[in-house]
Amino acid sequence: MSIKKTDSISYLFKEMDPSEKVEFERLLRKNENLLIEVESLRNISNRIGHLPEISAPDCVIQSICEQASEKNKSSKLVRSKPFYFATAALLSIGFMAGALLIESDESASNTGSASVGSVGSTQATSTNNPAGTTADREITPWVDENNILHYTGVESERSDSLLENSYRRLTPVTNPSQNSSYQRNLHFTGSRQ
Amino acid sequence: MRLNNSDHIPHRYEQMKDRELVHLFRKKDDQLAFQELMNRHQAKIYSYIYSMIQNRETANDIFQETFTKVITKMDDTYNEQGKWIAWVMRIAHNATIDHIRKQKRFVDVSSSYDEESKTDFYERLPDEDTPGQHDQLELNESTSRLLKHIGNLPEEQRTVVMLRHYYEMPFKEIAELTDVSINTALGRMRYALINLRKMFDEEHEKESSNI
Repeated sequence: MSIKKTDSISYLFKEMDPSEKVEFERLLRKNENLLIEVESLRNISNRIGHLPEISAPDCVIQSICEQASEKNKSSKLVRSKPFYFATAALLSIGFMAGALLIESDESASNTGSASVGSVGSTQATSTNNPAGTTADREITPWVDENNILHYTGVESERSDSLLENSYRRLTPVTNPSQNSSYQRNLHFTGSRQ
Repeated sequence: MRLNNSDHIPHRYEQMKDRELVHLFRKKDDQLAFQELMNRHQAKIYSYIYSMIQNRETANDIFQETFTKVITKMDDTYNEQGKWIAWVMRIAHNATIDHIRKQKRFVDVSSSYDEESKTDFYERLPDEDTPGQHDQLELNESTSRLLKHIGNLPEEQRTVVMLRHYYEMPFKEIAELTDVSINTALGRMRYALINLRKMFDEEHEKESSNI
């Protein structure tokens, strides 16, 4: 067996296989120089073995332990964050829904606008009046996105009379089969001038 | 080496394995588990850092830095399958080597040889914060001498000696940690022991000549 320089270290620090160890010990018995080297290295290694363990200062350890407990507190917060987010989302949805409901109630009770008829619908629907309701204002017809005709600037009495006048001017459809293709689309379109 | 103020930790924690303590700390925020881990391993880790740096203040800083990383990274980086202490030690080793290399880089700017005094830059440097100066620690004389000599070893040899001594690390693991082959790690240990023997011999000669 050829001797590697590191064999003595492997032997000293018990890093050899049992078979390698037996072989190396056989060489040690034969080779005096090798034995001297191993023993001198063992001597130094034993000195190192007497190096004491040195404890860290108490204040340093205490501060580390405090750091660990603070970290746990903050990680608890992080872990419960999804719950906070869900609660916040739920609350904001609730507020928004409430606000919308209140708004729609207010608009339902608003009498400043009138809506009549439609192009494409047989129902008369009341909706918001975007322009407000001032008596002095001129009467302005406008059509909303659902093609519902509205009059802006009309007080309820005036709007009623206006409606009646408008209805009087409408011509009922006498023969629906004649214009069947337009039946669904055109209502209240004829008028007496 | 247990801490002086560890009496409040219940006895059952002493019987637990590191892995169980780590699990308790991570999953149940058990502070006593963490304190027990500190109790078990702080001295080895601190000794390693101190023996490499040989300055109390700097060793304190590196020790603190190591555990700050341990606490903050335990949830992300540490895999409970591996040994906790090996993971902590790797952090301590890296922090220590980083510090040593920063120090080296700082002084390497002028490593000129002075013809007059026949000394190089390092020899002319004051001893502050360099290996070999073990301040504020009351150690017996032979330990101080040994630490001083270990401090005079090249960094890579010192690392192998200390990793082996304080962590009883197999050479295979030392090789992995220091990114060299096993033969290189064994060789470094051999040279470290030979160098230490020389230092002791020289010291012995000096002492005999003084007498």
